[in-house]
Amino acid sequence: MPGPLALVRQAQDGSPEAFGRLVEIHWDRLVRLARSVAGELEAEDVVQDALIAAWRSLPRLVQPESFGSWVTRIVFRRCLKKTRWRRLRLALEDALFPATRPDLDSELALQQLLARLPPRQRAVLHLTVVEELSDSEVGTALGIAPGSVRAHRLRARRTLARLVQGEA
Amino acid sequence: MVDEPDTPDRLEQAFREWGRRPPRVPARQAARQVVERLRPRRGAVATFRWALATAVATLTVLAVLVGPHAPEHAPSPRPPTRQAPMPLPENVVQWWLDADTPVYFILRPQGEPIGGAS
Repeated sequence: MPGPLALVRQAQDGSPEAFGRLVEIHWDRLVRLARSVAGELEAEDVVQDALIAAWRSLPRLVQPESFGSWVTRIVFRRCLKKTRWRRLRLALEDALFPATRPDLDSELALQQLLARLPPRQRAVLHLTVVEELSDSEVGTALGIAPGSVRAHRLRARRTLARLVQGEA
Repeated sequence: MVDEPDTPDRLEQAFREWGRRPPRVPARQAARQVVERLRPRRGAVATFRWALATAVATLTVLAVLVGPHAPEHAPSPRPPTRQAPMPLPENVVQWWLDADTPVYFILRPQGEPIGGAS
């Protein structure tokens, strides 16, 4: 069984089977990220579409060893596109309905709480808390500097702390 | 970190548990679905060859239509000196740039992929 690097090279040479193996390897973590950023309902469709786009661009990937972070960035950018309209709707909801103290035992409340964060902050928080990546790894995966990773996480935590206390 | 206020532990714990649930579609099934949607990629060399052939054909047509030998602007005063017509295969079209210059277009048989093998 070829290793991940060999699979990337075979997929670059046009092998759909090798690409399928790569999908198997990365699927779970990509869906987890998409769920946190784009939401439960659209996550798996977003990841599938992103993987098709990745297949088309794969020959242009210069460093095959960075396939994991490269494909994460593609998924993340697709998630950003998907969330554009939702952010507008949430801003309207925020203006119309005052926030109440959320019930953290409810999955729905948790999702609604996360949905109030901008997508970049959600992604940073997800990769830090759920995937336990370092700032440098998060930065590589999202295409931002480690300093920005810290800034996004700081703002996300401040916002969540305020929302949990019911002050927003 | 001093400047990062801790979100309540319960919240991060809840986020961690929620975020780590497995996807609805298992990885193997997802891989199959993705592979079914993949289209073969045309190699870079084949793409270049195809682009080059298209450019040459376009330039040739333009040269015929608007060039100095365009029939409506400068009809050739001398009689054509074409050789006796050669029998051509069915997939070959012969054009004349001028009286002495034939151009042959070889048509791709139906069903053959554009640009050849990658």
